[in-house]
Amino acid sequence: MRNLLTIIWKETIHLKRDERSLIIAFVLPLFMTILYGYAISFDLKKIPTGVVSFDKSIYVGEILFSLSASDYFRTINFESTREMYKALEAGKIKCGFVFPYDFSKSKSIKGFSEVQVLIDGSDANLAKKIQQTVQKFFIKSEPNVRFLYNSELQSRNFVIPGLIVILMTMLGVILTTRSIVGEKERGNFEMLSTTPVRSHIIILGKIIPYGTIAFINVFIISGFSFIVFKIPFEGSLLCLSFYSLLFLFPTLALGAMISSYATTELTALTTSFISTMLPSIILSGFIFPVENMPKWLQPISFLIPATHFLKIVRGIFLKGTSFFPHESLSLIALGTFYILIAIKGAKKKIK
Amino acid sequence: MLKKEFCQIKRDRRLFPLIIFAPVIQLFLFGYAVSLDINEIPIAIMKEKHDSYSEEILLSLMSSNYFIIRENVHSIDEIEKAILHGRAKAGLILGEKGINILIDGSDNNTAALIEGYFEKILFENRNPSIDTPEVIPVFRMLFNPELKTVNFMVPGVTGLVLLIITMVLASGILVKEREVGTIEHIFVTPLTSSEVILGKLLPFMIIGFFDLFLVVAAGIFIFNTPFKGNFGFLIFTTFPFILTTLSLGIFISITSKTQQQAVMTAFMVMLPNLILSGFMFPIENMPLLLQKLTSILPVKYYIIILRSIFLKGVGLKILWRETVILFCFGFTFLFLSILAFKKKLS
Repeated sequence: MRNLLTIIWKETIHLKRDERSLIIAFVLPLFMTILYGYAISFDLKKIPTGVVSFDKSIYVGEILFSLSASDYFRTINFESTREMYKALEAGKIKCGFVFPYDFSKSKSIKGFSEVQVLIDGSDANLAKKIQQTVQKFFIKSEPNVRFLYNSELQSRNFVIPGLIVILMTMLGVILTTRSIVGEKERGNFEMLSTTPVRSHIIILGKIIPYGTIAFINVFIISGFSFIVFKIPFEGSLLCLSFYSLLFLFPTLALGAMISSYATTELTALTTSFISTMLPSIILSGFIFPVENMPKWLQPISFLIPATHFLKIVRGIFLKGTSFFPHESLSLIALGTFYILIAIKGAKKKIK
Repeated sequence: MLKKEFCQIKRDRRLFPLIIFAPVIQLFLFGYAVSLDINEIPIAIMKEKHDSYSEEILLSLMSSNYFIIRENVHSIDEIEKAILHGRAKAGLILGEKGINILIDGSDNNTAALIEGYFEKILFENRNPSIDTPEVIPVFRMLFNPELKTVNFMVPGVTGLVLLIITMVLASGILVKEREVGTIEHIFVTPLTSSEVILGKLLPFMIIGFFDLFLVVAAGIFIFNTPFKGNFGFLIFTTFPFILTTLSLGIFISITSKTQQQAVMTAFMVMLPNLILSGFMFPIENMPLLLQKLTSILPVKYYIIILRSIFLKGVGLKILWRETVILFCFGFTFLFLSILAFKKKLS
């Protein structure tokens, strides 16, 4: 135990001197939170919209007025459909309305009239959103819909809790591998192994300070986003701490695994970036729902600790849930799995 | 100089997986995983009213690909519980007084999509004599009529792959020479600094173009992405982009002390590119200040060009602004890196 404390102390002194690690540990997370908090939004407002009207009646004028008065559209008038099509091509507008000659006439004859809506489909996600917005605008007889847990459907409330998971993964894996492999590269590991301290104590002592940093960051980011971004927090802090600790197990194990195989800091850095950061962002359900990925891809996403922790964090933040038996088991299983591989790799190295 | 660089690249075995596999893997990841669509949404149903209208709605719910009825419940509490535990993403209440819908809002994107699907089904089953609205929008999707996310992602990934590969490669080069100690050899050659930098750039330029062909070919043949534009124009606009990223990489490598510091800096530069370039998150939705900030990212313009070439088939006539900007970026950064190198020499 005293040995462990000594190593932790040694590592903390190292850390204090290592400016770049400190920047990664404390500046980067806040920077990312601010960036993501402001930049990631799928909430549509003021869609640039083209309008061509061949029907100059008051009826169309009224519709156009309510279009531009709404929060959703910013209308630009065009003389011909050709011109509007060109603007769509150039990306100046995202959708366009064409009111035909017989628009108001058709209303008095048939009781309704049709407006043609052209949408730039290149961004499929955006196009669908625009389509729904238009639909909602014209067809008012909608059912009563109530949204639970994020009643205003803010992107932020969804993204920021997820970001905590991504940042923890990043800090846990990158900082740990940096420290262990860096020591290896400089040849200090032999020196450490000649000391009476056993090797797993050394590794543990090197991991704990970085785990602590990741853990502290959970609260810094939560507090920051609670105050600045007004993210709801329905659950309990105790719960968040408990599950964060649980999540550190597979994350740090993953870091240990990478460092037991990588020989230089450079490869360790690249590997941890490519094998943890990218998949954690893309495959974990951070933004894109896992349920919707192809069946062969889903097992891969379950190997990523972030996938499970994301469910937990969102549950705590938005729903106030405190019991996650399934996810906890997955985290423990993954942690054990990665530790076993790490030990295997380390043993091979010694031989 | 050129010859020496090619030999070095050939000998560095580690580069091959980076050049060949990394782009393809990224293409697969982004092509398949990045979609906000959702099908087979699990829902809970509470039915109080037993008439033919409710039956019809249930029938079209079940026959649509959008929903799966996970459970039939008898109270709103049960629906809320099912949503809380994640067994259902939404609940439909066919009540005496009308239709009510509860949706799990925690993922706001999914929630909005679910709402849209419900509305679509209810609209299709409306009573035409009473409920017909005055204006019915008739939609036509341009440029990507099937609304396939892959078609949007492939051009974006192409830009991103080029950015990552060229920058990581370029940021590593000079520093490596310094670490190995061969940089003094270069200093004492009679080559001018522009010649050194260009000699370093060209081989990587070729690698960049190789990756461009690789990703575009994979996009067209594996993902069936349409390619409506002119390939010559693509090459014409790719040149200034690669020039920019390589010069930027070299600039980083000149100003860094160790290889890992260089790679680290390169990653730091890439991170905002991933978020702010419009690659995943629409720029139009960002606050105005951030929108302005995105104009300093070269990759933003390149992705706009790529998407327009792939999906819209437009050329220089519409994209001249983006093209000019890219050329400006390219030569500015090239100039800067040569300048930095000269300063280092003296």
